[in-house]
Amino acid sequence: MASTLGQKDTYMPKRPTTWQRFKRTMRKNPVTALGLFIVASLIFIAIFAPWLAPYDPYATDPRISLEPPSRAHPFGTDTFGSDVLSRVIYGARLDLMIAFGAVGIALVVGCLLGAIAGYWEGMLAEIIMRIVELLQAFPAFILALAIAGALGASFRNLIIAIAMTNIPIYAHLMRISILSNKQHDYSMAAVSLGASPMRVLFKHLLPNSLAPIFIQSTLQPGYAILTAAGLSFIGLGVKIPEPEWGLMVAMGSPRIISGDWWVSLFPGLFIIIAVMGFNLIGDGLQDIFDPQRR
Amino acid sequence: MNLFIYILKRLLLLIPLLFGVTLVVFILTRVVIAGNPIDQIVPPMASQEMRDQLAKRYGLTDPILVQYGKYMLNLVRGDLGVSFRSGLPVTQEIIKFFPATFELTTYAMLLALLVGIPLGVASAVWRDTWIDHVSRFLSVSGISMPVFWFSLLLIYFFFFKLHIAPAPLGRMNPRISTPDFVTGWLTIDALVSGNFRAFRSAVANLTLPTIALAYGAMAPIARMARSGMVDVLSTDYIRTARAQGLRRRTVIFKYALKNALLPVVTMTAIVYGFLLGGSVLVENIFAWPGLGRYAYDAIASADYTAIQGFVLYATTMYILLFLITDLLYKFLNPRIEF
Repeated sequence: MASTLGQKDTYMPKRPTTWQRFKRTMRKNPVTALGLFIVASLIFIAIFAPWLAPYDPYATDPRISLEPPSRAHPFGTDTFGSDVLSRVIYGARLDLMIAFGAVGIALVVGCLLGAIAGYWEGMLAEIIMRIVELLQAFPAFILALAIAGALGASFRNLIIAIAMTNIPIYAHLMRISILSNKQHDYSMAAVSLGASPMRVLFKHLLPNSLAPIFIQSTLQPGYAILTAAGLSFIGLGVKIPEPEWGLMVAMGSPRIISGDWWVSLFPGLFIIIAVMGFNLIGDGLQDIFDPQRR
Repeated sequence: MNLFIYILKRLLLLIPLLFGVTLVVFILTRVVIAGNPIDQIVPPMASQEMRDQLAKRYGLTDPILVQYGKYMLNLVRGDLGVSFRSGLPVTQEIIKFFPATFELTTYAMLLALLVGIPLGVASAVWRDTWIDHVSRFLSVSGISMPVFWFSLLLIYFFFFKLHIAPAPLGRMNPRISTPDFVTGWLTIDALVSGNFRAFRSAVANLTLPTIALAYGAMAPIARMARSGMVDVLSTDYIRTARAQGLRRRTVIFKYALKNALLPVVTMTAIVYGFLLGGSVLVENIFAWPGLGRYAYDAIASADYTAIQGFVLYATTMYILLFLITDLLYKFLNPRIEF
């Protein structure tokens, strides 16, 4: 790789740039690279949806209802005559927003709770961790179902419901991380230099506890998409005519028995691709950071 | 004796947990809840008087603490309240719909274990060969695939295209008489009564939903079996066994397998929780008359007592299973002392 820099006669090897290190890591871990490529493509599709989609995803036309894939409509049309391809493209926007939104909220709330519980051991920590354990006592999908059912079906409530099921894992990871980092000399040093607890926690402990959180955060959006799609499928997520992948599969499901496969097939394929993308990144990172696990 | 005390301790610890679970469900279905449940049962034109009367009858006018007290008292007696939709006690309905779900999820669990364990073990034994790659791909696709989408795909191919599977309409062909109720499992009831036509029909109707549920459940089991086996194969006692010239088969099946499968035991509870969640989706697609479909119908008609009953039931089941697998793990693993 050094040859690309055009420095043949130097004896001192230059320190590789971040980009070079990244490229090398990716070459060694093609699976992670594939995952990154998938997720990056989906984000691209989501951002540029209005330019990529050939039709308006909300436009309906009863004359072309349930047309099989053709040159004009590569993924066919659904019951309302909407173009499935355009809806799938816009779906990337909605599903990624739900996934990143839910995981983002869970990350912030869960890490804060975990950090507090790890730093100030005592009554408060007990209460926080008991609540977190309580959330884990429910099967994840059923907890999300109960919360979404109670709050009512909407985009916002879907995000809240999924975020709630993701909070425990972050709280646990953060707490364990803080507990072990607290014992390190650097933290003791900060304390003995008179740093305030807030400063020790946010300046010293939090930044050093982020690696496992980061790895987990690459896995969670995939599960969030699956949960979101499942909840929308049973009517507890976003509502028709929003182009959400799970909802689109649901809209096609009554037509499967009569052979109209394309309405459900394509949005489902995108769910798989998206979830797989996140899973591949997460698995790969776990291998990179912890080769023992392989 | 120590063991007995340990189990007792674990059972006592369940009480605060279950109490917490009921509290969460109460808060969700009575406090957080969007809209008034009364709206779901009265006709839109109902007079205020009628609404008040109904609210009173369902105890919705009481202070929230009184409501909670009543709810807990009823729960202790096994009374989950009356379904807003059918007017029947939820406990009775859950008992009625339970066997169909129990049968489906258990077969799915068995299938997932039967496929997942060999897959994971093979993957570890032939690590980094094509077997490993195929098996890892299968398990990644298993966790990435939405179970409802996979169900639809199965129906399309095996019912619509190939005409091998029966229509996705419940547990049995309606033209065949159902066997008498013994266990509630149609496959067993049919065999017990010697009704082989019913048995064949029940198995045929079970096949697709079982496969649909099992595929997703197989993935974490295979992963766990693989990583367990990889860990065990790198231990000293396996190296010693190999160095002594024991046959590969003996080393793997007699020495490694038992320890490798220990972590899988703890996994089964989590997987069962996944199956309970998945049953809501799969039963809806296959018109399976079980609890998942019951929950789906309850959601569709905003029948909150029924949703609450389902969530409580599923979570209690999950927690109990967790306890059982945890105890089982400790029994099987002599390295853990009580």
